[in-house]
Amino acid sequence: MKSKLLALAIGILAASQMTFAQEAAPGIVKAKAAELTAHRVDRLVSLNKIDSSFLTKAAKMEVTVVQNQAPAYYKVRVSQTQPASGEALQMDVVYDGNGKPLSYTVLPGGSAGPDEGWTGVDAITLMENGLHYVLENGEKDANVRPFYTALTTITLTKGQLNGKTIARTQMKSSENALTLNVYVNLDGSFVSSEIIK
Amino acid sequence: MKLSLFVIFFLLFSGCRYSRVTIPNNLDLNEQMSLPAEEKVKLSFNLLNQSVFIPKCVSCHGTSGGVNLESYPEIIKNLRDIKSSVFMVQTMPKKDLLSDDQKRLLWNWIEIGAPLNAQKPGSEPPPPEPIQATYESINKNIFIPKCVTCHSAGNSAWQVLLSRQELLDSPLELALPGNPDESGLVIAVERTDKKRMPPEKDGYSALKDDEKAAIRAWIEAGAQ
Repeated sequence: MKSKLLALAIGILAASQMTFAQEAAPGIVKAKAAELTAHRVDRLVSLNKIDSSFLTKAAKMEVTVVQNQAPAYYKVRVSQTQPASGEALQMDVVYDGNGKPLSYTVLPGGSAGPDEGWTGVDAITLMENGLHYVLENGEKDANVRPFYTALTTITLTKGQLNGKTIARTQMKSSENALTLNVYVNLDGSFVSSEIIK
Repeated sequence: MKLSLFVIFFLLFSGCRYSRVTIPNNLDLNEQMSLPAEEKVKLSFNLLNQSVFIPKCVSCHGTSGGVNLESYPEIIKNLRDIKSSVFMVQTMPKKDLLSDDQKRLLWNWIEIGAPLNAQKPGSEPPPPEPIQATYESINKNIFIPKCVTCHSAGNSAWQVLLSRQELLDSPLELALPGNPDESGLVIAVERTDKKRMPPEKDGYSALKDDEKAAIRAWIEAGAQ
């Protein structure tokens, strides 16, 4: 009887621990997971582990929460427009809740598109600098916060602003239907931001 | 007509603002800065290098391509400009200003002729120890003089701090014990592109080979 009770108690304890492990708040927000991915891409390219076009021709990042695969918590998918050769690629980078990178996988099926031909800093740095705006303002600005805590995608395109060629990082959140545009000069310096419907 | 001209000129000139830039003169500065004679005789290049030039100047005035302040001959060559930019027009250092003590040392050393050796025998500080592959040595010789101006709380690169624990715990994998090739710190200081640290775009020189080697060796040995 005693041993059954003990086994039951251990079972309940283990189940509650697993529940807590899944429900524990992550140490980083989704926007930080995306920003860490920008650094990760740079690192993997520096180490010649992935196609360098992930750095120069990245076009999109998508952030999702991984279900029931602890310690994995976030998965960030990076899409490039063109690889060095062949078809456009994607890459999944998986992190734990504190942003520690756990794995990366290169996949086919990138969103083939025009080469924006970034002439200042590379595409990943432009995305990273757009994300810095969110990381710096997400806690204090209620309008930016949904993109800080619940970022789903960030896309990078080239555009014109007041007659000047700029990079537009466009962000979406799962908390609302708005779009945050962060405009960045081609050298990576911040220009302005706007939230649009 | 005269009245309208007067009004136009009045409006024009009332919109101008003048401010007088006061450049301190030698006498005033000497009064403020002068050290007692018994201290002046201890001043030497070695002392100034360790107290002022290495911690405050060479991170920018190294191999970055501008004025080089890494050796005695180079410093002597630029002495007038150093005096002017630090004490007269006060444009240097651009970041991490000199403390009052550092200013006094520099002022007096220049005033007594910027000697290589101290006038009082035996008062020279010991030469700097060569950099070691330990965190303490790296922190003292690299991070503090060359990195923490930005990489510290409240400064521009506050998100990447350089305490040993931060380096080990960072999700950027800055120090992977035993694996310098994949450690972000090693990659950042060894790379030669625009993303090199310290950043070239801000005028900073690359770390020297012995500094890079010490960081690599420290991580290789386990980053203790």
